[in-house]
Amino acid sequence: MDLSLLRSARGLMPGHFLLRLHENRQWAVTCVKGNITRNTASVSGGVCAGAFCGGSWGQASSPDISAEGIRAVAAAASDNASFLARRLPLPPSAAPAESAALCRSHASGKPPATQKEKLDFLLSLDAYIANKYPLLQSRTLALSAIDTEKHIVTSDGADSHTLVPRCHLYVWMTAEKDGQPVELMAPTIGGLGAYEDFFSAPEAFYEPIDLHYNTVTEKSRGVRPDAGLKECILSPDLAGILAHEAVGHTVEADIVLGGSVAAGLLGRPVASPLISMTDFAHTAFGQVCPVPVYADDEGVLARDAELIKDGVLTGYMHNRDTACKLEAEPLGNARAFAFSDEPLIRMRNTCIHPGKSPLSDMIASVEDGYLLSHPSNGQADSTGEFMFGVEMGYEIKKGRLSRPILGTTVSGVAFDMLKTVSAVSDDLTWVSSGFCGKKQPMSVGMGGPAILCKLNVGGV
Amino acid sequence: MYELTSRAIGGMAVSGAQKAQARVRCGETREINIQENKITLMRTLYNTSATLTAIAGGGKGSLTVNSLSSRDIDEAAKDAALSALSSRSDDANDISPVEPGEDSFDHGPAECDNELLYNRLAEFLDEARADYPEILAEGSVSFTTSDIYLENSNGVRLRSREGHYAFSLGFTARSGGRSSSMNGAGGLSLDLGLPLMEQAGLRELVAQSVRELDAAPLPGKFTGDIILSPPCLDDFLSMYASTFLSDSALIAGTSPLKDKLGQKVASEALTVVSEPAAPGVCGYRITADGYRAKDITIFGGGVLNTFLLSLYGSKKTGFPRAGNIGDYARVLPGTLTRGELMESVERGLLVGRFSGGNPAENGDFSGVAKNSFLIERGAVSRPVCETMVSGNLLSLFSSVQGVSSCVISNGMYGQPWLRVSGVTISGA
Repeated sequence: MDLSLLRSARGLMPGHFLLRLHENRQWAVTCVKGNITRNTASVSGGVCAGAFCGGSWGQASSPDISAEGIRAVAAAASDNASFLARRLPLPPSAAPAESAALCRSHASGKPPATQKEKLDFLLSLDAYIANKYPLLQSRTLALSAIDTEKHIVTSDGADSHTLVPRCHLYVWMTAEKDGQPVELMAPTIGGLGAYEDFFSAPEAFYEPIDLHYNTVTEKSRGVRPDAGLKECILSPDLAGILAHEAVGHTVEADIVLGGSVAAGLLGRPVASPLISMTDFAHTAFGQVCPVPVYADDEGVLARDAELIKDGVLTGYMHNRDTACKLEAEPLGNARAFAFSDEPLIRMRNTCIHPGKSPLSDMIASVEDGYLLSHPSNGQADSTGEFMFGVEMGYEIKKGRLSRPILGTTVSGVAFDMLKTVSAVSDDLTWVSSGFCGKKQPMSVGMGGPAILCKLNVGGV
Repeated sequence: MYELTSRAIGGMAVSGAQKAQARVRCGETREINIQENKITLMRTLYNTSATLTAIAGGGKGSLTVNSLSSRDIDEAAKDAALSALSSRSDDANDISPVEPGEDSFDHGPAECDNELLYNRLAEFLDEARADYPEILAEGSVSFTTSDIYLENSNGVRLRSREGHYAFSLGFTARSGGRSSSMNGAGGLSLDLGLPLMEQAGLRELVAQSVRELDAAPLPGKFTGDIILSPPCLDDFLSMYASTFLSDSALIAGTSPLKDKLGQKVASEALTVVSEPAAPGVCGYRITADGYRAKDITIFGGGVLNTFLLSLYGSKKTGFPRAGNIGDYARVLPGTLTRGELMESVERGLLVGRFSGGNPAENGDFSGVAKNSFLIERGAVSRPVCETMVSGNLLSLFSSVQGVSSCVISNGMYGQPWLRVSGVTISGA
């Protein structure tokens, strides 16, 4: 990226503006039963300009990052803002914010692996599974990575340059039960960093693969859960998605202004006093988060957004527009996925804080319920009603784990369900391999401990 | 643009590719957005991309770049070939053959009417404010035009210029501290000729959102009939296609339908066509694997006519390649009015939207019935919330009790209301 071109373009637009040079570099390989079904890479980058006129935004984007290309998108963005302002004048709406002037890179210091090394690594793991577990009906392994590099300058002084790489290994195994396929995805391996930071010798991954084979074999003996309102322990990998879906989306300020039930609940109890939750910008509990955000795409210096403290709703997540409307401080939640995307209010690393209960004590306290694990997809709603897929779990009978269960979907109403939380475990797990969907995909981190609560379980 | 595709194919050949395909796209999108019932943002997106696919030493590799400079195309061609050489040899890796037929398509408007974009959105907001003051809406109206050039080393050369308008609106009713569940509608149009409120069943959905302010949980659990609304039916068809008919399900051998081609696997009432190339449909004319898109019948009277396999999937499994990927689907309408469809339902659900986890490979599904209404004694009684539905996709489409004669079309699908039985319905 030629950063000087962007800086020199500052004079091109009157009024408040944003300029962003942005490139996503991605690659992915997938192996299904030994067949390479995907071997792709992409480089998608360009410049995005945002111009503010009255209360309206104009935006334009182009892959052409020459001086001429930047001039063209700056002009188009200004024209678009003027087009709207002429027809529908609105009052200006952009809260003052602390502008980010920084440079942060998480680039790997190791020599980059070749495509052949990555493919050989995946095929080696596939061969290990095929040879050791011939009774599996199928297996799928995938590696994917995305490096996101951004340079942002704004009319009020932001000048930030960030590079965040992420890479993950996914393994699915399919066993058979009575001739029916029973699939389970293993916990993903990877996170913040490049391929070289996580993967080298395939042998290092045999142990988690063996563990996963045992788990999918157990699942193949599973039963369907009984549908209805149940006492459930969400394992830490599920609590993260609970934080994201149940609470996070409900307290995004654009959703709040768009009708969310969280409107008007600031300062009021919305959860058990055992629950505290924060959308961390880049560092949590002394560690760098899986999706660190140092400056958002409006040029705002990113800081943590406290959402719930001891059960009381303490904040929403904002961009500069909603912060102005709701008289709050923007903390760096305006994010865009692709160079052509507009910044939207997005979560970063949303996490329920760990509590004090050992997981074993929590299980022992349940008379009749479920331990749920292995999340899949989830969705939120303005009503606070959420759902997420659960790929596996166990019955809990009289304080002991009992039969495994097959996949299901659980749901609840966020601020009702959170009040049923009666224990929070003393550990913490981050999940960051998925993408949140809200017009655009977005990398997010989701963290949490195990939670004992009441949920609506789908089933027979 | 054929200069670029030829340059890319030549570059891949020089770098070791035995076969190569290049697909170049130039496009522009205009978009106007609303937030909280106000028009807030207008965007212009210029974009280009080149996807280069090489087969070398039997392996395949693909690289997409969005810079079309000669230097970047040359570099991408070299990298695509290197990626293919790094991969595992597979006889199923191939490119499309030359086939007789039209090789240039021109479809839809070429220019965006900015005033039309703005006026349709403003008109929707005016109508929503006047008729449904509880509604808060967000979303966008857009126009996209694309020029696509595809060439491969077998001599295939296909070009398509496509243009269409699109809209996507989400909305919630809010009143007295209560919120309704989010709902939405969207679609494609060649001319944006109708007010948005009259497209894709939007007016009915908006009106339902206001009623949903009174949604209440459904107590207990029972097995009953559900009626899938047109957008919900389209979602279930998509889940069915990806779970049972796709490349991945058939290559993995996990699809329970892998031995059922040509057999009856669903209700006789179910005929499903997929028509991306039909006249008047926005659709597409060139597939990603280098063929002219063709309209297909997926189910005819419940008989599975085709899997949805790509060229690779076809050569890998030995089943025929599909003429498209199963999108732009349409369930052929039946003969029943919507009233007749539900008149014999003693207790069931009208499901507006399904929010569920990914179905299991055997088709088991469960999820929340969103924007849904209880049916009692043959009529809609009240909106429900916190209600889950569970079942199996194979059983669901084998238990069709009726298909409505009226359909909702949105330029991407044309679906009726479909009544199915044997679904577990459980409340909070």
